[in-house]
Amino acid sequence: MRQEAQAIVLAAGPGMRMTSLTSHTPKCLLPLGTLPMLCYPLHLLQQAGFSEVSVVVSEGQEQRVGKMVEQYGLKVDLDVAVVSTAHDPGTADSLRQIASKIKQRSVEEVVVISSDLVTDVALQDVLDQHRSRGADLTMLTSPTPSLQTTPPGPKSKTHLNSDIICTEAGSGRLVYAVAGGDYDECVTLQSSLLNCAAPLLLSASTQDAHLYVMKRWLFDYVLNKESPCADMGSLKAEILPHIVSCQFTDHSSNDKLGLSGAVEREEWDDLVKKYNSSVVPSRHHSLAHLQPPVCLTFHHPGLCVRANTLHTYWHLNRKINELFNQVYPNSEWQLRHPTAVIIERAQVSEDSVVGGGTMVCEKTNIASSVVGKHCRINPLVRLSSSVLGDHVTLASGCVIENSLILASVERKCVIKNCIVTDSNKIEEGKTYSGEVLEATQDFA
Amino acid sequence: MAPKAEIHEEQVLQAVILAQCEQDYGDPVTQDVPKVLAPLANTPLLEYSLEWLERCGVEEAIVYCRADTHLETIREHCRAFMTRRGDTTPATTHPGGLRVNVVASEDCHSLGDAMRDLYAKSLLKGDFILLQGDTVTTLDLPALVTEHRESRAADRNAIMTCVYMGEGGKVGTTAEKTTTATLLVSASTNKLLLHRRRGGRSTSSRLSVPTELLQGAGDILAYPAAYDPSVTICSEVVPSLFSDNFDYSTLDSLVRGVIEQEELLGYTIKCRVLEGGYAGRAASINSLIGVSGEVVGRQAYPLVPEVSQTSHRVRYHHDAFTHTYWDPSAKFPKGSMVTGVVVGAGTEVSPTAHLQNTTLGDHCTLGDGVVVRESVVMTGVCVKAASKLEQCWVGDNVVLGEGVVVAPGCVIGAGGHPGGSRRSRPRHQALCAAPPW
Repeated sequence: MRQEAQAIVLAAGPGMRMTSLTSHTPKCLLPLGTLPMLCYPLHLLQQAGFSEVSVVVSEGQEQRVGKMVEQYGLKVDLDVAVVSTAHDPGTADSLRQIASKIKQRSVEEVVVISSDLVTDVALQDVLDQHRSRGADLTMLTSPTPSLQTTPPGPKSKTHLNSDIICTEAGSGRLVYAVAGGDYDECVTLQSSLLNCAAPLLLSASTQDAHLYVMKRWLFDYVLNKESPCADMGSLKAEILPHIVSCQFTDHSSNDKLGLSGAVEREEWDDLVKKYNSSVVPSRHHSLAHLQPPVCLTFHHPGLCVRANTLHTYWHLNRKINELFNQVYPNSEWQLRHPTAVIIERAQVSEDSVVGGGTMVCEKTNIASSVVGKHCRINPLVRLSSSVLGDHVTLASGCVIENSLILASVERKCVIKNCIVTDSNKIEEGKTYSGEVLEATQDFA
Repeated sequence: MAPKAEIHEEQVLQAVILAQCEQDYGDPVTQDVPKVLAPLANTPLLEYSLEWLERCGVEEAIVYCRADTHLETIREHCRAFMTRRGDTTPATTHPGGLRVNVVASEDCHSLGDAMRDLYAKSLLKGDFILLQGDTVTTLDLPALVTEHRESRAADRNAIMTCVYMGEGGKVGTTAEKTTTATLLVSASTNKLLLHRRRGGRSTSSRLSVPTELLQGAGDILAYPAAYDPSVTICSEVVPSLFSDNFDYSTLDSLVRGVIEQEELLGYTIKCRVLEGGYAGRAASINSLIGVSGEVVGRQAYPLVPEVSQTSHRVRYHHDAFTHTYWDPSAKFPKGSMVTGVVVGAGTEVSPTAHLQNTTLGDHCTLGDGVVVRESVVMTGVCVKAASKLEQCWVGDNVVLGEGVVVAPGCVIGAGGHPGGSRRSRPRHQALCAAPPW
């Protein structure tokens, strides 16, 4: 029996854009509103009806990831695959390492999701569009979110260039994609692309959400050592633009496998093209001369955020209490966990999130904050607009404002706009503002 | 549709039709008749524009032409246009109808010269519609002018609205390289960001989009091949820009100049790409034949061949099944061999002739076994038996001998007598003012 689709979640990323947070915890396990980040894509897949998911993790994390299912009440079976992060693999490299695991199944489509995606899209709709329009690759796009919250830590000037995505207006066919940071002053559209004569919509305000649905043969082509993709490390930045441009020109050189050679089409495809008189638009209707692969976009105007930079991670955490039901529907997970103990004289505001097993003592004031699991908030603590990780203890009398605390604060101090990942850096009675308190590496 | 009354004065809707400024048909066609009066489906080209402008409620049309031998013909024609309304019920809503003013100048060689002259004579009083003389259009011009005025009211610097036809409107057969352009338009404000004529001097057709345009303007719509029907709505700033810059000779150069100097001058050009509606430009002989085919195919409804534009009377019978229009006095085989054809008065077509997508003028004679495809034939032409004409233009009083094969793209001037059994070279123009060969 052929399975319809296989899901792969890429969770081996080192979190290059949030290094201060990922020194102790891998990016996929960072807490996002008391749940690890990885739960969100897994829940998304579960909602779409997947019962088995392959998760690609880096070394040493398979235990923790494997236990996630029981811990957080997920109903999918996880097939954990480990890749070595010795040589900084890109997303495609890590897929190649576990290629054998994927090939054992015979599926029609492969869904690849990044572990940091938080969205409320109905994955079933994406798959439906992919199948009904006969696409070989469907990419989820959404308007780039505008983030109003300011993250803690020193003010950084890192301005990431946005992705540029060009689609055929009306049909949503993807004709050109380039990742942010890979282009300079101008973007060149080739003449073969322009021959399709349909109006094209070029957008810099749309982001590629790193959710791809690929046909099986295309996925094999990407992982094949003979194809031109063999040298490309990153799925989003290199392989995707290459596949998109193959719609118009075939980049096959003598020793490499061309895309047209790898295409699998059903036997009756030509017959359908000839006799097709249906009114529902499909790939047989396009004005342009279609060469495989057919790449489409699914534009989702709702919430879609990738928590891979500090800014987006912070934004999601701060807004999680409003968004939770959108992105994590139909679950029994509650934001104010029943096992959390909140003593009566503590003031905890309505929009705060408190994780399980946490103890909030009396005379504390918690406003608009996220408190993780198994924390202990001692008396006389004032916590506002902050995010606490798991197993964090706050000593009495601390005042914490707009900060991200991932390690215990054992001494009384005032912390504003900081990121704390190492307890030892906190000294008694000091005021910290706009700093990152983390463990520095010893070169001894 | 009455124009919107402004605070101080009523704005008169004006149009400028440029006759004889760009791309002429060439001598065999225009030796007797100016280009704008060349018949398209047996109606002069200018008639289509004037009729449509009148229907749109335009009050004044300025026909600008060069002061040469044809000037009097054009003047006469326009006078006849204005006086014809005396004996027909006007179909327009405006009681005054269209006033046609013919302005001529000896030095006019380009659109730029025409604009400068009009500016010097202060004939243009506000926003005006700019048409080329060879455009056949049934676009909703008042709506375009209203949109232009609104965008002008919102942003004083939007000096011009260019109108292009997108995919749905017209693309394909008559879209030549010179009349298609690659456009970049901002999706939110309809501002024209880049304009490039296709198939011009630049051979590379790669499109480089500067990323700062994307960051600044938001989403951009790129039209790789938009058809240019030469319909533009201009404000009063446009003629003054032409007179400031003697380099600007065509509208393209103005567009390019304004876009490049946007920081300096601050002017912007809006662009509307229409998906519906019809506009065709009969710029060259080939496109004349193409547009003629489209008009015969009723794409330019309500400007249809069977209603004479001059007298508003039905002059032809019309068979919708084979798309044929014929004068009551014409004799021709009414069957499936004759499709998409306009047959003029007194024309005799033999029963064995094959006609397809052609226009025959008055008093023509076509012999047995003649095959005519996609051609335009003027009055008094005699085509003897077994001749073949394909995609050509045949002038008045030409006699084609037996078995003449005319290759595509040929133009045979008036009065010529190409003898029997000769084949002409493709795109060969035979100029005949003298007695027969």
